[in-house]
Amino acid sequence: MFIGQRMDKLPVSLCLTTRRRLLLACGVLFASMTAAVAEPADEAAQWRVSGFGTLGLVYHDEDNFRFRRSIEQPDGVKNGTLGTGVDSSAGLQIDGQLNQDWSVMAQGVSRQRADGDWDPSLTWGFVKYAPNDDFVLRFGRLGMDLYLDGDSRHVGYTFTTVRPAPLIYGLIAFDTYDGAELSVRHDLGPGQSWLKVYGGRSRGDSALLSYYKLPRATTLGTTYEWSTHELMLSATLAQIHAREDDAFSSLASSLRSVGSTYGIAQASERADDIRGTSRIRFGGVAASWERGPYSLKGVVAWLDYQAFPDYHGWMSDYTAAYRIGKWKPFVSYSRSIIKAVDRPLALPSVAALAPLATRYQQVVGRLRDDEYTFGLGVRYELARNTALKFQLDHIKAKRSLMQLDDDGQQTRDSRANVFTVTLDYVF
Amino acid sequence: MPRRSGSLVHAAAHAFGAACLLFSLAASATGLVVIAHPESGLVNLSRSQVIQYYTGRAKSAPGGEPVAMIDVEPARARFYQALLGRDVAEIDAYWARLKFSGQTLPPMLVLTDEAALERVARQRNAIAYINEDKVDKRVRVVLKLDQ
Repeated sequence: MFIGQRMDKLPVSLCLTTRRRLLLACGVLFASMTAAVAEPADEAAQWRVSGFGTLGLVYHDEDNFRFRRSIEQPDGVKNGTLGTGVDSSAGLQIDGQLNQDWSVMAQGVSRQRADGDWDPSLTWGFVKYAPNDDFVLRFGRLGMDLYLDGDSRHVGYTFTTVRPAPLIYGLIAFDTYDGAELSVRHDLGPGQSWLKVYGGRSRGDSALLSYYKLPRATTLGTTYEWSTHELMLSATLAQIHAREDDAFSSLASSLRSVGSTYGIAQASERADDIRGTSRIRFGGVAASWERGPYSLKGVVAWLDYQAFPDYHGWMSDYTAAYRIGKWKPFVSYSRSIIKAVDRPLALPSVAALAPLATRYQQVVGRLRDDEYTFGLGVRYELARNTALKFQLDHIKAKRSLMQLDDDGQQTRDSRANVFTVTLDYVF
Repeated sequence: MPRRSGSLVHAAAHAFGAACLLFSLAASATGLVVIAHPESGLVNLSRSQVIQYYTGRAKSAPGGEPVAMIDVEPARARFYQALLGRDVAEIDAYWARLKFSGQTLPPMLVLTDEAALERVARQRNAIAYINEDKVDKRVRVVLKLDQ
């Protein structure tokens, strides 16, 4: 679901690959424009192919600041350059209706990944059993139900803004799993309620400071949603538990060695604090109201991350929009505060210990966050199933785990105005 | 005199054009109706039932039989405005959310009223919406939408 840990360095060279993928995305876009108006051949057809994509440009002029969309991206957009890889993506989906009760779906998405590659990854791939309107069972590759605007953050066309709840969903990295999901519906008052429980083997990787592949871990979650066609209220709880996580075993060894060599008890204590497990817990409530031209959305979430040195935090995001014909201006506000449990370490001022001291500070500070983003923009319906978006984000961070400085470290005391233009499409 | 006759021709042409425009506006303002197969078992649908179907929140008739929703391109924007009070672009984004998270697929799209009539006439579990003046005996009106 969230976050990453390992400190290994990752070489990143994206330019040529990015261009190739953008050309691919352009090709898919034009193919989709011809397919979008085609009438289905016959109601007996059991298979449907569809797709989506985004072509995005990002620009800012803030020195010593690299803008990222999420911690899944290994590098950010430098000042004075046009970033094409931050928001661009392309996806293809195949749906098959096997009979009245059984169906299958597979979805692949190409986007900038944590390892710097753009190879497509399987985001969904499941068999679905739905014998009636009140019961749905899915098993296979699934996505955690964490998102207010649908279960995927990869389909830009579905969102009003360029990036949904950037300070919440930008932290999400391990949101797919291989397992099962059961949903049960019940009519409640004027609306419907859905209770969903899911679980399985966690999947994902991140690039918080460098590449981190989630070790063998278990995902468990539940979501309750009540909705009418205008109002939606939901609450979600989820956790990812890795029983063996050796991300900081080398740091623990170094601390233990220094503790015994230099007689520093505090270093030995810190080594003992580093567990070989990790557990991420996430909870949130969300509300959305849409009537006529009005759209209001809000999400408040909390995070409890039990991995050295342990973190606790909360995030929130609010978006308001008003449609005027093909135009939909919007404003948004995101806020996040994540604090680390205090684990002090005082090492002697010895040159030989300086690298360890630096590394320790990187590790304990890797998830600290105190920032907000204010967004202003407009969505324009360019054609059926195609939207053009212009957005200006003002980011102010005392400390950001998402944005980087020119040395690839998390930025501090920074402000930036980030301009984004995207073309989102589905077919 | 020739100039006067030319003016009259122009005036007549303008009047004809205006009449055509009024006629087309009147035609497009015809009420929308939701139609079903006469033997589908669906006699009357409430507005809220149609909302449930056309937002993917229900897929079965009260008796449990599946219902196949059909979108009809010429009237699509008017239909969703009349049914939900929302712009059709919002509906497109809504269906994309459902489709690309594997929840449910959007209604099948046909391009003309006649195609919708044909489809409903030959598929017993299908429902569609068309202009009221296009209804014929092959289908049954199950809901008339206020404009």
